[in-house]
Amino acid sequence: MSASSPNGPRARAPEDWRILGWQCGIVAAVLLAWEGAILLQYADTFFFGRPSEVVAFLFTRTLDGYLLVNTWVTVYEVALGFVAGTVLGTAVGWALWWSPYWSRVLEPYAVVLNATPKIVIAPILIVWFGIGLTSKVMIAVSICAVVAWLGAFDGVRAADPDHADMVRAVGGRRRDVFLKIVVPTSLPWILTTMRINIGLALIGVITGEFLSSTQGLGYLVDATAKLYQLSHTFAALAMIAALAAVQFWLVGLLERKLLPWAQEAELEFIT
Amino acid sequence: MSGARAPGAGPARPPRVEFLDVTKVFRQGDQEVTAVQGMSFAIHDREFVSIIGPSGCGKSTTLKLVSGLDFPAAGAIRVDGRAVAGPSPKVGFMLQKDLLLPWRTVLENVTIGLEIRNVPRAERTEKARHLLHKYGLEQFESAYPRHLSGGMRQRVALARTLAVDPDILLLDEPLSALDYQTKLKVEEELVRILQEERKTVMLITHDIAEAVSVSDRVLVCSSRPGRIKAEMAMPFSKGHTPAEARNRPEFLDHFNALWRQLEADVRV
Repeated sequence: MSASSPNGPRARAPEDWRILGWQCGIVAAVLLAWEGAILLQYADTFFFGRPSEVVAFLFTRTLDGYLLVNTWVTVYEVALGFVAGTVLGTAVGWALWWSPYWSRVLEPYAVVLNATPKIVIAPILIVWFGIGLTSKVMIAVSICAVVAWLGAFDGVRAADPDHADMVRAVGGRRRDVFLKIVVPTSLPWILTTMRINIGLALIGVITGEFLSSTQGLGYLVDATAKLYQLSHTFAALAMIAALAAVQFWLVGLLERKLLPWAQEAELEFIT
Repeated sequence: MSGARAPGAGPARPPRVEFLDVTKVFRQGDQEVTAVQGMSFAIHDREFVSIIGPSGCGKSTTLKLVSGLDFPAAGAIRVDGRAVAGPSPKVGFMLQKDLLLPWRTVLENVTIGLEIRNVPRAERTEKARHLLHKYGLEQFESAYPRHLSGGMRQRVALARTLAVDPDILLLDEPLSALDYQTKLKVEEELVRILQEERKTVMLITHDIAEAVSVSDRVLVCSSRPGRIKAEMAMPFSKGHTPAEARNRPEFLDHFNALWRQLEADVRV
């Protein structure tokens, strides 16, 4: 890696265009085969839905606001739960740096909580917080907080004692060691947990909507599938996939913003 | 060396660094290991003193004690006549690891000490730029450390250490991670800078040739528990670059004299 090759945009090589062509082509081929199978009556719309119906549903129900409201509900639950959980968990992980005693006290809880499927708490949270948005937000908060806590604490423990000595040698206090060494050291760990958490938050929220809800993309998937309106179900799935892609892209953006020093060259296959 | 103590200063002035019968014990699991036992020495103003000795003889411990990052089990350590109670602004140290922070640019790495001492931003940037310019690193100020070579990284570490103006420098094998050619080059630069800036230096090294060519005085440390078993004055530090010193006919005599002191303690 040399200083003269930053990660700036580069011209697309012919190969990149061909790869993009394949990527779009595969989607188009699947959709065409699907539509064709329905048209030629190899498959039944009742069980498989139909791409043209999916597109029509996406179009009309976006225009009348129905899809937008349900998408907004899910986005709101995921975003609020993800941010609150990440902030809470990271704060706990950082705070434990100040107390080796309490970090030892809490260690077994962290291990058990990490190993337990976090979604098991969802039915209890629905009992406590009702079938509205709050219970879904709380599901996402509880999942994200545990993962963020463990991630931040791992990051904190990766701090180099010699770096801390370097700060102390010029008169730094514990606060300086924390702010100038411990926090920056832990950032890559925290970003990694954010990548994991944004996906887990979506899973948690959707599962909560499956269990009990009146709104949201998870509700749409569940309700339409139960009514055998599979074209509508696929439309909701498409919205969830698009939402997941946007979320992932946003976290990537945040990573490039917070960790400019850690931008690695793209991974390549060894040949 | 005689030139270190200026004639006008008089004998009343205490040594810059003084060890009096210092003992340091480490706990290693259930065992107690005595790293240093009854170590005594004094280092005077503007002296360049190397400490040389077998691995595990407590050389690094010695520097840590002077820096105030660790404390002895017994004995007294004084800097400028005062017992060391913690890190002092007069004392700076540099390790084999350059300890550059990967998330900071070269410039930000150099300013970290000034930042901790609440020096205003404009002032610390100016000071860091000045140092980087002096060491030929000015075009790298906004690069991240991973883009630098080993020799450049150590020069940045030196700039960071000198940015807070310590006048006693503790160097713990700062060049031993570099390849031989780079080492010679950086060594020469380091010695020149430290002489120009009139620093008092304690250097820990494994390299006998380095100790002979750059020091006013060499302290030989025994194997664990470490103490000073010999002390030898070296003639080359003033008026010779390290490379010139290595080419002097009497260089080998000093080299061999030091080696004889060390040999008995080196176990393979």
